[in-house]
Amino acid sequence: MNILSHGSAKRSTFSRILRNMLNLEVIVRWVLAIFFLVIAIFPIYWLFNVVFSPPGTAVAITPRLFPTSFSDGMVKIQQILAKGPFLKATMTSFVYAYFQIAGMLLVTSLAAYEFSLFDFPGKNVLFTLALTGMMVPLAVTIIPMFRVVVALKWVNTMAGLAVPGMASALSLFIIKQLMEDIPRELIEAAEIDGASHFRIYWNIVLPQSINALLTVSILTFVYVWGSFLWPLIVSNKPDGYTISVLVASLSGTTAYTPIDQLVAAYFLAAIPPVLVYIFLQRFIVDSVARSGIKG
Amino acid sequence: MKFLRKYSKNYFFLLPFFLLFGVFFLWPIVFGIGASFTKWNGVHTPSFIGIDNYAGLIQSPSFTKGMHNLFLYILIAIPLGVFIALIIALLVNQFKGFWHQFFRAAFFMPFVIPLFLAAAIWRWMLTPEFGIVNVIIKSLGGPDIKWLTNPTAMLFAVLIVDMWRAAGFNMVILLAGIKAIPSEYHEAAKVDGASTIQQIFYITLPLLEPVIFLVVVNAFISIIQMFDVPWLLSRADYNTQGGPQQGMLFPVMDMLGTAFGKQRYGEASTYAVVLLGLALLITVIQFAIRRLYAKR
Repeated sequence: MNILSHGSAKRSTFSRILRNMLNLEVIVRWVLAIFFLVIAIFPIYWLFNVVFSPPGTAVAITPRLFPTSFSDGMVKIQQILAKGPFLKATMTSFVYAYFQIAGMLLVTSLAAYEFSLFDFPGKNVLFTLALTGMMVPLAVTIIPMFRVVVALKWVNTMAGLAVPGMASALSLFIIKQLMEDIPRELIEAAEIDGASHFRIYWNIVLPQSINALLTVSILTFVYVWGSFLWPLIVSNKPDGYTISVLVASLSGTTAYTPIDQLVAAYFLAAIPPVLVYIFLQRFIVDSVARSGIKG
Repeated sequence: MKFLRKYSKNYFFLLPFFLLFGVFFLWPIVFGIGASFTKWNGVHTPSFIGIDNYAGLIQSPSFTKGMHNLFLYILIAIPLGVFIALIIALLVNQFKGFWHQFFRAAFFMPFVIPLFLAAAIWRWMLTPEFGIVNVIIKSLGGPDIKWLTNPTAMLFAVLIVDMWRAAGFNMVILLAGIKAIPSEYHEAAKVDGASTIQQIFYITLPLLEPVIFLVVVNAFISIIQMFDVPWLLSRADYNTQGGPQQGMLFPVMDMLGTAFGKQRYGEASTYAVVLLGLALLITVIQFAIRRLYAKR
């Protein structure tokens, strides 16, 4: 900005805006961004669009771009909900997520408490051992894991679904990192005041770690809602289907469900994780971003 | 005694985690490695047969096919996936304020759609002739692609679903890496008159190398366990997997068929050990390369 001539400054601001609008870099930037945006959002939009359109538009040679009928969508949703298994599977998935999150919070926060705030022999070895859990793909251990569940007589039970995933190395890691920020003087002061090991955990450390606990709960919810391989193996009776196994079986070769209802089922199954994402986006994206800075 | 009294409370609090970790992670690994040397149908007691399972696996056509698909997929998906994620990350980084937040959130969105659902939705959109993808391709004058039955196109159907979902995830990691680069570098370059493109090639990319590396290793590990998408796209069950000519067969799918379809648990355990070996190999190579970089 030129201090000497105010008049020409105004004109040059205007021409700068004009130049900016025609700036090739800016145009390319927006064109690319909108291009990728369409690809990222389209399948989700298309699902919404087809559900809220008259029946028979799920596959059509001349598709409509915008939803036309709210009531038709509600009819499809009622039809899929009227089929008992869908509601049952939704409930199963919520209960599965609830138990896995509750158990995971307890065991990982206890372990994170020790790893982050205390020193004891074998600490590093044990922590490194726990971290191998993040590096070994689940698929590698799944068959012997299933045999363990068989031996415990947990096949087709909620325990069989939820318990094996509770000792999550990723959750342990995230909680431990945040607990490390709690000043050790605080712990020592409480110890001198005679607070027990458990009291310090429960009354001092846990309240300070709410953010970490919330983050791992949200991540676990999204993970459990989407988990497919483990429920497919361990919960193999229709009565115990999770939402993932049910959707797979509805769209499989043996079951016949009209495409309009199928699309409504996909739409409903997408709602919980999308809602969680819209309202709690920061927790999910930040925890992913942090893994990048660490690397 | 004194030692025990001093640390017993620490170990006691670790116990629940390590009990579950031992029963559902460590023991399965040890047991699986042991079972890979046995003939075992899941009912009778396993009997030791040495490395017969490993020899049998190498000769099995479905193992060869699964590995072939896996390596072909790695060869295409990793460079392409990193390239797309990098473009998007650099693009989002060009926006400031509201639009930065908006695009970051929007591009990450597909990742919260579970794999099973992404596969189901895309299978519907990839329906031949009437599916929306083929309707668009045909309206642009392209051919009607049989995404789910043509053995060559099938692998690309998996690729589409995978790229759609993973791009935003990798973008967020890369973007965090880009932001961690001290802004002085860019300011200095700007003073010297470097263009945006020059800054990307001479500052951002070289400094981003460790993060790109992390994304590549992540991608390797996740492709090794590729399961949900090809399983659902090919309408697999325990008896048949991978669709026509097994064009979508991935090792984990074959492993499941071997265990629960053919009831050959010994052989399936061998499969798991081979996959574990692959994952370890990649981790070891990662550490080796890291060390090499650190020395320079």
